[in-house]
Amino acid sequence: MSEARIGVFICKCGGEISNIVDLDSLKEYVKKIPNVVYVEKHDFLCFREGQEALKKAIREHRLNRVVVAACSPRLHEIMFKRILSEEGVNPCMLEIVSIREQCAWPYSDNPFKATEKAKNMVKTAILRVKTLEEIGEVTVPAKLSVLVVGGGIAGITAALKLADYGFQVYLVEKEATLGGKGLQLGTVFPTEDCGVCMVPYKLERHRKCLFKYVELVLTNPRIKIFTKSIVEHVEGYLGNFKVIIRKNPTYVNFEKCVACGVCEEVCPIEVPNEFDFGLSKRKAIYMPSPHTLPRTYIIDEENCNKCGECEKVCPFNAINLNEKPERIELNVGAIIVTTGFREFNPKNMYGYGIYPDIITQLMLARMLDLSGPTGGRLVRVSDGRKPTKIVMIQCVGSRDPQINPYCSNICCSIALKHARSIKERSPETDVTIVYKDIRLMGKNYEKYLMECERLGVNFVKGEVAGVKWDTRLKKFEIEVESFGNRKRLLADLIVLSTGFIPSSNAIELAKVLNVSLRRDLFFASTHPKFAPLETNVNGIFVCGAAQGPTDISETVNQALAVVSKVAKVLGKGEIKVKLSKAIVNENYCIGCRVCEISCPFNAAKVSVQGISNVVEVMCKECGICAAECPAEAMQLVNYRDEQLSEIIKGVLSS
Amino acid sequence: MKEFKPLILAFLCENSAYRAIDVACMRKISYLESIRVIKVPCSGRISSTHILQAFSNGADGVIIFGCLKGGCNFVDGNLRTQFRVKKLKETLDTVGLGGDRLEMYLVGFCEAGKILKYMNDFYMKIKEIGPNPLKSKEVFK
Repeated sequence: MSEARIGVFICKCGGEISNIVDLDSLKEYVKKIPNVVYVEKHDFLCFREGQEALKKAIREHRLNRVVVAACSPRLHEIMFKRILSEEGVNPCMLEIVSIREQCAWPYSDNPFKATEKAKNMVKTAILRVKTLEEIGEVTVPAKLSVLVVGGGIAGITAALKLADYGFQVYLVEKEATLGGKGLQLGTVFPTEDCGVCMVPYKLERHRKCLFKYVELVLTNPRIKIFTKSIVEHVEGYLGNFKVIIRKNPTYVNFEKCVACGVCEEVCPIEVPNEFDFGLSKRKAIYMPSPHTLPRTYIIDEENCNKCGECEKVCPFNAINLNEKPERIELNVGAIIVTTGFREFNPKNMYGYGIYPDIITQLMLARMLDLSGPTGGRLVRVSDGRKPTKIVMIQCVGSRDPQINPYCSNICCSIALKHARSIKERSPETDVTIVYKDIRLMGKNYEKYLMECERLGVNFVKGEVAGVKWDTRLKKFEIEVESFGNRKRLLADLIVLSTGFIPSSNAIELAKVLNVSLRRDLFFASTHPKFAPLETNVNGIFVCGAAQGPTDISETVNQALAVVSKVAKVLGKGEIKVKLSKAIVNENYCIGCRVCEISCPFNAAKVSVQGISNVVEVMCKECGICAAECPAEAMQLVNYRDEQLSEIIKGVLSS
Repeated sequence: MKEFKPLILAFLCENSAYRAIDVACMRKISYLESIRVIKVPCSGRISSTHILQAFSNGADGVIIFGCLKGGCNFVDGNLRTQFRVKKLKETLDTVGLGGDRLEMYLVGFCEAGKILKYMNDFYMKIKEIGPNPLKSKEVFK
């Protein structure tokens, strides 16, 4: 490399600096430092005249490294870098010393101190700029395809939007049908639209319907759906992931099935339908709900005895009981995780599981669903009679340090939605909500609370001390501790507003993807505020309830945000990577895997030969591996050990 | 005898503490000039070697500022350094340099007042402890 020719540009900042710092003595001091070929003072470096002077000096003195002593790098760093690259100097060969913020302003009462400090800082910058290395760029081709894991609301929204942008989308769903938890809800807040019953109809008639989207997903040529599938193996990096999917047999080809129902008639096996929480019965070949999409029958592997009756009668030969699981290999540019949540199981809490009349909100949603098992009638599970007194208990399994410390965000809105719809259908039913705090976090949700109060829903603030079954009254007796008083409430149906926990295979998926989870086992994001949807692996995003319980509007927001992020990264078909990354000195590397363990972005991998390797696309230049490396083999470009020690020496010398 | 003025090296994470100091200085709030500042991409970049190097180059104390817990741009760089600092303090105690000469704080990027207070307190503490014993020996220079 050619000899360093350093130019030092000192800005007066129109007197802001020059009135306090003795720039003449600073200039004389700098001149004596070796390799400095040019020092000059300028009035305003950020103005056009200053910029022109900078360009001229670089040209005339053939400068290849530049030190700018002016204001904070946060203000004009980008502009100075642009000037350097315009003049054919690598923009990394720049060091900005903020003598205004660090010297002139804080020590405005003591010019001597300010000047001494400025000298020290400029000298350190010159020492540092000498050691800087040129940083190049590499271009990595990116695949224009995206894997979406989870076919709930978030997954469907993301898949559709990505397909609109022209990406090939692979949608992987672990269940046999799309729709996720949204399918089980009767109506959805805040607009009280029907969540499911309009699914199979045409979208023109029901524009507001959420699940018109599912049909669009099914017909979109750019979206390929894998139902009953799980992600088994992932390797690679942003722009080039290799994914292996295990597609479990569905036994029914959903492209051939027309849902005529002949198979269901001949099936000899009958079991309770878990989609309706046992409120209805189903066969081993069944349709979980009349609105399932894809509109197909599915076979329950556990209960099916493979008698073959359905296979015989199917008029379209859609059933194949000998289907085997298959492995499918995909190449994708990015991965979106939308695995969602599931309801917390409040087993043995308040007598749930012992008394059939203690149910959860999701079960109540099935009952209130007009197309659900009871046709929208509210009944007691034990005797099928209409309940007269309903008590809802909030915060079951959430905001409890012993179980789940977090607030599940949406249970309050769900409870209010159900209370309102019960009151509207039968105003004589008595509904009481026992709550710790009512937390409504969305737009217009407060309206719900007011409407509930208007409709006559009772609110009791307090904690439930116990639930007893009174055999004489044939009612539940609920003891509530409210502000030091004990209240007794009677009910013949208790609804538990359970919290939400991550999807059942989130842990497994996180292991496969190498993504970290939070302590509550939801997917962790790299930064809670500024990168809420990015995981620690570059190119893997998370949205919807997989990163914490969210309502539908928030889920859709997040899905759209993730789509724009993916489109930005992959859209050009190639990814430009700046090479200011961690690099390995292979002579020193001992293959101890410390870098592999410490890298928060999984960019460092130890090869079979026992030498560490950094994937440039995944590295985010933090230097943690360099600090942890015991052999000093790992170094961060421009923050190498020798470069840092140069700064330390410079700063500490007087 | 001349009054002892401790020379202190401060490593600032450019995502939090450096910005905070920048903003504070824009409001013309000064900090002690014998606290020398180095900007690093993440507090996780600072290895034990750098801290020891600072001591061998004559620093009387080293203070490190990282982002708040959970706020690190690189997930857990701040916590890793905090752990290293904890271990290194024990080592410094053993070799006789004194673990009190090293300190790490986690601060947010709008907590300039807190940073200045920590710096001041640390400065006073080092002043009490006295100069770095390595300075007179010049073994490492």
